[in-house]
Amino acid sequence: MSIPVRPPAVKVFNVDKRFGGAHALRGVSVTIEGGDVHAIAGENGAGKSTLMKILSGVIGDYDGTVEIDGVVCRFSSIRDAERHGVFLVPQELNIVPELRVGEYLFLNREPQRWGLIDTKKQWADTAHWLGVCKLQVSPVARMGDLSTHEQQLVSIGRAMTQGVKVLILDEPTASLTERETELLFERIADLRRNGVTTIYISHRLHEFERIANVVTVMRDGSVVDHFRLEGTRDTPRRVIRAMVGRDLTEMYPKVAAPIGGSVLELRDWSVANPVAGRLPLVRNINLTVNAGEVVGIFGLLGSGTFSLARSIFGSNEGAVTGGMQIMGAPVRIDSPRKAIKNGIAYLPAERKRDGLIAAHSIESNMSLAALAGFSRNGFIDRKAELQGIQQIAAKLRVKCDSMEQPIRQLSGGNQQKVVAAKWLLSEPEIFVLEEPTRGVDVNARVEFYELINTLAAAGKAFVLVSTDLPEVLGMADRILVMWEGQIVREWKRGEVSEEEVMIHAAGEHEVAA
Amino acid sequence: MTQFKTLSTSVEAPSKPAVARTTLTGILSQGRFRLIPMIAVLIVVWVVLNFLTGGLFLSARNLTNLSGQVAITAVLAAGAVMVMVPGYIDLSLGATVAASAVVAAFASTVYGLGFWPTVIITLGFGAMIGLWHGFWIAWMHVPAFIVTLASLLGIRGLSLVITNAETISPSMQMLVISDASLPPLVSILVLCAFWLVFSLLQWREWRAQVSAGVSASFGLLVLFPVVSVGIVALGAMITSANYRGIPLPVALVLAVVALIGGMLRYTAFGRRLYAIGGNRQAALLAGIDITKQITIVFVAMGALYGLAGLMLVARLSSAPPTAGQGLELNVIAAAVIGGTSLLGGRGTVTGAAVGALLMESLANGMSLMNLPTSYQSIAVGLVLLLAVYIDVRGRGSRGDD
Repeated sequence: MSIPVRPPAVKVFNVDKRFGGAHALRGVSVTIEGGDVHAIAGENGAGKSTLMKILSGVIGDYDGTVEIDGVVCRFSSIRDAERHGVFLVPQELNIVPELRVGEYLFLNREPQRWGLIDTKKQWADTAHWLGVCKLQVSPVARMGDLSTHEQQLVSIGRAMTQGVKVLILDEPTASLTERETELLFERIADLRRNGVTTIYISHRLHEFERIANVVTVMRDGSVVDHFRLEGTRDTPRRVIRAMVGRDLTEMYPKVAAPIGGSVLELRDWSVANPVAGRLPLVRNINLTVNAGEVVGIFGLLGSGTFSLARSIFGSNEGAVTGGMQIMGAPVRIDSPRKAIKNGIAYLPAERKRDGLIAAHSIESNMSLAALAGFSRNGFIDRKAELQGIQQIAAKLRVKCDSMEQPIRQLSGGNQQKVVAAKWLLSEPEIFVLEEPTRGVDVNARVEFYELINTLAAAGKAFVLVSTDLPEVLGMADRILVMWEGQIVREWKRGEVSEEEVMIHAAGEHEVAA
Repeated sequence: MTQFKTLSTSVEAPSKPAVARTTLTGILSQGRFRLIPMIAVLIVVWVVLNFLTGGLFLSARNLTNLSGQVAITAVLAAGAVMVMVPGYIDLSLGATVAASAVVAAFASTVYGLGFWPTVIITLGFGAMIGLWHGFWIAWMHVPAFIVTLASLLGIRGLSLVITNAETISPSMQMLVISDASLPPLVSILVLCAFWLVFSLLQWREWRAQVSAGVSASFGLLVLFPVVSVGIVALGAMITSANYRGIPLPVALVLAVVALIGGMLRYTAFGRRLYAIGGNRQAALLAGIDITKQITIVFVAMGALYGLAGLMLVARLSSAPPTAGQGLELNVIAAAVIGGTSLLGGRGTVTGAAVGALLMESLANGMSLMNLPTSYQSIAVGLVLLLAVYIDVRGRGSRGDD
């Protein structure tokens, strides 16, 4: 029995929080030791975010106590929490795109001289901190011009300049490439060496063994498992078991559907880069998707997979060249409207930005793409609309109080179900899915995959674009890898390992050859 | 695991019926009941003003007078909702309505055209300005704020140039638009028809919800709205029958509100406008032709400039090119008081009409009390602020959300 050298960095004791009828946290107690990288896992709605909001000062009204370094604290604002050294780097970064890196780094704490900003010191300090963070960006770059990864590191840097003691990272790797994830993990390890405690929230369970040394699993507002990782093996499975309360023997319940004739065909398909002089986003792609087939396209961010998906749906950034055939007939798609008319559906990766009208009701979100089908002479046939909506909501098991509830009140998984319902109502033949399970909890994920199976069995064709490699390997009949806008390799299901795909996605095959 | 395997077979299984929200705050927070507190405020204001003016305010004569004042604002506010729901704005009203009035006066006196040709030319002129706006906004992607601000400045100047800054009068026949009334019997029939159609639509909505397996409340969806609208319609019938019948401007307001309100609520076109205002990107990716939709909206708004211009020229018996100054802000205020969001995605035409009524009631009542217009301005400003505050509070979220 060792005597702790210092009090735990964070001690949450018996914290209870209700939102109206919903019991978000049920007497949660967690101890987070100083210098640990403490991973927190749980499905959406398990209470992780609520707990983090309490720690970071977003929520000040709760029962129970929070101790930071042995002192009981109750933060009334984010600033309050930051003064005590607790910083949250949220999944959707709160950066100010128009500010430059140095200005953002010292936002609200600008070095001053005689009441004016001491710009000389500001830039000097910025250069210093960028060095500490090992960040190779210009201090005068606009924040909005940086990649997500760089923005994230600047946000962490901002916490470091203010003497961070506890750093909370919410889904930090959700939109990072493998290489960037690696770099982020290096920074977290550096912070750990400096005695900073990191709380790490992620749906990517396989990352835990690489970065964390303690895992806490939450379910339904309670802590259900808590273990140190030293010597533990098979962490993801243990976490999943605790998260869902049962053993998921199969995360990807793929059922191969009989493959039919060609539904979608692309020939010499290219998408120009809207920035003149840059390489095209997509280069000379030849692709055939057959009925009942799920074609998985994997590529790291910037490889052109999303540009390809968008261009199929007529929502391309740059000019498209090449030919497209649907059911053997050549078509020209230059707008989402035409794509929908030709039976294409598109589930965007950026759900909030591209897929949802957050303030509107579930029902008006669902019927949006199929309004023409529900209308007679321009007037909406409410009976047909409501029946269609209810049917699909039951089929997808959308959890809600009523169909008139604003969609922003739903969990990520349920929101994604509404987006899926919207497209199912438009009765498409081709589904272009972009990161279909991003921010979706394990249970809802499996339901999604089951849905893909059902639809594929009914002869629908799928283009599955994802940066979640196990998902692509688990669900696709054919796996295509994109690198620098081109398809560099194709495999059949089960023919390839994660490692092999990754080598191609990172362009390492070029080096080898 | 078995639970997941059965998903495809559980498709036919009925879902847990969605629970209707039954708490009072829950009901009031729903869009379609947002009118209730507003109408309550309106009634309080009317009672207080009636008391302060010694019964003058609620006299049939004053109500008819008030309705004439409200009509122009209400017609334009209905149009403003149509423009603001998809997230646009129209700042040009003061100038474009005045220019339409000038066109009406010119057509009827200088060119000596008859009643209907004048009406058609004026509406056409308005629609042309609307098309101009639509072209710059929807096709050239210039912000609506700028395009209509440019019109506010430019078209006011144009009116002054055309008229040499003189006031022209329309021919006498044009005055019918503000002076005529529907005969009492016709008025009663119109109001009855209005109420019946409304009741039928509410009932159909209820039936649609029930047939889809939603546990819809008959009382909330049919009984309460039908009875309350019935009471208002009955009151209007008694008032108009006792005096001269429904004044034509009020009939025009009813028609415009029914047309635009019906369009927004019952057509796919209207639903898509809400989507554009709610999330433009998502609307685009749902296949909505934003350019076409917005062009149509601005052309329709333009026709309303024409209609309001006709009502203005008839009411003033003249077309001063400087008329209608500040009208655009009153109209936007009425729409906002009625629950329309400046950011788009939210708003109802009935709300805007009630908002216009509330504002004009205050102005009318205060002038009956011989208070100077400057005080009316102060009152309207405070009402705008309070109305939006209450709305923000009621939704339990930030106003910019």
